[in-house]
Amino acid sequence: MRRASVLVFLLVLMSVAMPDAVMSADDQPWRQRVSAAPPEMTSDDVTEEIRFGREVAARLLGRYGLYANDPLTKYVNLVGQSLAAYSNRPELKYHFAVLNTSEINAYAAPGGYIFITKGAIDKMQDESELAGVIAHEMGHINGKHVVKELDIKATEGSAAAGLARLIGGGTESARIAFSKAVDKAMDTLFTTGYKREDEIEADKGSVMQCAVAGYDPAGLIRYFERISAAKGKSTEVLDKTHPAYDARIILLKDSITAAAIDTAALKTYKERFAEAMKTKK
Amino acid sequence: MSFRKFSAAMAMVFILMVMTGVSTADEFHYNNLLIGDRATGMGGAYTGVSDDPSGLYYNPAGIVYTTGRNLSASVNAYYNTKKEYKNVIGGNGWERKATSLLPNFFGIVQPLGKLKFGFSYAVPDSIKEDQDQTFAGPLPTALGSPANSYTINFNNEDNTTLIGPSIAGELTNSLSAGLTLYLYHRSNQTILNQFIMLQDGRYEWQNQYIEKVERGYKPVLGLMFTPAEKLSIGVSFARIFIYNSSTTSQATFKDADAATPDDVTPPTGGPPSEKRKYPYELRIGAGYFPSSSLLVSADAVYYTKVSDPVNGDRVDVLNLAIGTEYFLNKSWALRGGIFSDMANTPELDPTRTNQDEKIDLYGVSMSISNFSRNTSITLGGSLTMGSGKAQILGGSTEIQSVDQAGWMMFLSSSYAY
Amino acid sequence: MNTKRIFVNLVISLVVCLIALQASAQETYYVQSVKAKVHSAPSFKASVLGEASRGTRLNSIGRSGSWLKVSYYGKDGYVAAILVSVSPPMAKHTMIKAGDADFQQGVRRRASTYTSAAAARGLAADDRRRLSGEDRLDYDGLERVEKYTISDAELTKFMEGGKI
Repeated sequence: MRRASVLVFLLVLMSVAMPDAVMSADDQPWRQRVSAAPPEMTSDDVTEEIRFGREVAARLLGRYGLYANDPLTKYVNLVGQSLAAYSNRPELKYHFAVLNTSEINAYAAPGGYIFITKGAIDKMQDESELAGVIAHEMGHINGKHVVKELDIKATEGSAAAGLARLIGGGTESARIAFSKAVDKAMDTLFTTGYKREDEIEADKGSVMQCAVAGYDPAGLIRYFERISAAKGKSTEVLDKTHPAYDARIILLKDSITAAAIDTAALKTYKERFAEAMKTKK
Repeated sequence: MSFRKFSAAMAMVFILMVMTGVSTADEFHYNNLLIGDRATGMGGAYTGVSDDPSGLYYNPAGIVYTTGRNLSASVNAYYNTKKEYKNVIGGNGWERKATSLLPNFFGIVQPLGKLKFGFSYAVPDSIKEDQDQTFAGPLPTALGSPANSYTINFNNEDNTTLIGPSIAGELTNSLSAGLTLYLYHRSNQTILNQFIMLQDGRYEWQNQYIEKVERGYKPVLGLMFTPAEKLSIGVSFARIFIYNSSTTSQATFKDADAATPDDVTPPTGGPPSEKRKYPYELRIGAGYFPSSSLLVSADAVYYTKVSDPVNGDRVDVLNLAIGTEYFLNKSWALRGGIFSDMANTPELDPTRTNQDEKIDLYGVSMSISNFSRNTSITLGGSLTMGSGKAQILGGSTEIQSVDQAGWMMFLSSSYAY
Repeated sequence: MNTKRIFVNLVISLVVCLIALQASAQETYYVQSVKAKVHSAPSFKASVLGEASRGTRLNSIGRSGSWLKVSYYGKDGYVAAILVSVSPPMAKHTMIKAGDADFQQGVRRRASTYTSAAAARGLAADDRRRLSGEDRLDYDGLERVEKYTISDAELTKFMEGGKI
């Protein structure tokens, strides 16, 4: 009996003094059963995602301000909606806008909000480049990168769930949790960046998304090559939150080859882009 | 009248047979009730899996791998068992039925920092056994006259509960450890009433009850090892230690020749030596996860030999179980399992008397689960059957063959949030 | 012994059942984009077998990189995986509905064009100090973004390569 209590003590001590071991459900993904896979999205989840995305979008607009230039807004929306027609999330209404800043970047908020900075547009030379950037951001939304990371979903309304909540006790009010999640989403966009595999998925997605919509997916490569030369304050956030350009360019080229895309047969719309840029002040 | 004298009197009446307190519930088997929703469907082959709250019972190290942030599960089960003793009195068989409806498991797992904490309640043994039979005469007796009728009413309730906290954590990337410290409580109540009406007008009557309460604790130490991708090996080690055991009993007996019944009151409670001894329990299990919709697991559970002259010696036992789980799709899963539940009693010796029965049991279990986003509901059941030998008549060397069959149905729910 | 035979039979049938189930796995996908071209090979250069419209059910028989192998009118075809998903397409969701509590909240907040995130959350003064002006919320701008629409006709013309 004494031996048993010593054992108990040792075990507790061992567990408390453990090195930085992380919860390993993620380390051993093969343990995961299909039932634990992200459940099918419900209509309520979509609504919750949009509600969340609006909050993030309002913060982005609060930070940079909207670039109010109707012809340019229209052009960006036309390019965006051309891509959105080939989105795999028809439940979302995509919104496109330009942020009034010389910083070079683009942002996506869950629920379909896509923002491109004026600084980024200034660096572009054809429509396929703009399409590439929009498609990349669309990839973050369609891949639900923020939604999955922060577990944004509607609260379950079933009786069993209600009972379980009652037993489990909701310590954190839903409202605080929501605001905290918005804070975290902003951190992702401005400080920590998406997970590396999410960026890769968005880049790969951009290639396919552009190709199916008829845009040359190499536009994104050209854009990257150009902005990788630009150093300084305008790309500070972008550089901090994204993987190195060389690696991304290689990956994009590989994706184009793998999907056997004939870039020459696809459109860059250089003239139409130039025409649209004239409206810019 | 002392207890010993009372027993002698009982032995004289040759159809007085019930060795009360011996035939109780199922202390002759270690694997009486399967615990947990997934685990039950998989025949209890769960030591190598253990990644949900029922892991707290099988192998607490496994809860490190629970996927929900906070998980709870509860199981409600209905049990039905029938035992048939053949040729007990003049070619007549004895039949005992047991039923039970109970919440058999509740568990909750909560992560806290690098550790996972759990709390669970389990009922590894519970029975409500019943026998109401009247045998018509003439039946031979040693009382100078054959009996016109013999009536027996037997009721036995035996419940074991385990309740307690658990802690688990990862030691290295491929090794985790956990501990569950259960409080153990067992209560057993047996009531026996027998009435013999003799042909000459005399009668003999006996009424007796015995109540036992055991308190103790059961530490379960578990390890979970991942030697290779998709393979998980679990080991857990446990034993029940009793720190308090009390017995209360009372008996009333009317001899065929006596005018009034005689109270027979044996000493209340028991000396410290009456504390039951339990075996060490070693579980070794392997779980193989070939895909996200298929899981196969196998367990071997070994119980050591126990030498306990007061409560009966127990032989060592090895039980085996194999289980599998298959997801038809994201929301439906089927499970199946087979298991053994071997008797822990020695082989019956035809030259001795008052021996415990030995029935080796085999079982099969199945369940179906429906998963909605955070909840799952499981419906399942099991069948157990086996045959063996018993010596149900007190003071007799006669050995009867016994058939045992049982089934169980359960409904459970779990929730992750 | 009889029980043992039953036991063995049960094991065998269990295993057979599982193998049978495992073999029959096949996944259904639904086209989500307005239309999806079905190619004869996993390549944009490959010939086009046909065009499936939104909501079309496709049975997947494998995957090849960014392409999903599907059976299409008895033939093996390939469709870009980004155009499909496992559940049927959902109806479009919009946030702005009459009586929507959140929207009303948004309107109320708009009292001053910019609201700080901290104030919206009702945080204590300390927390508010911690947050900088970067946490302002611009609901006015958001509504302008949300209300901006382009007509289908304009979009169609644009997608066909027309001028702005």
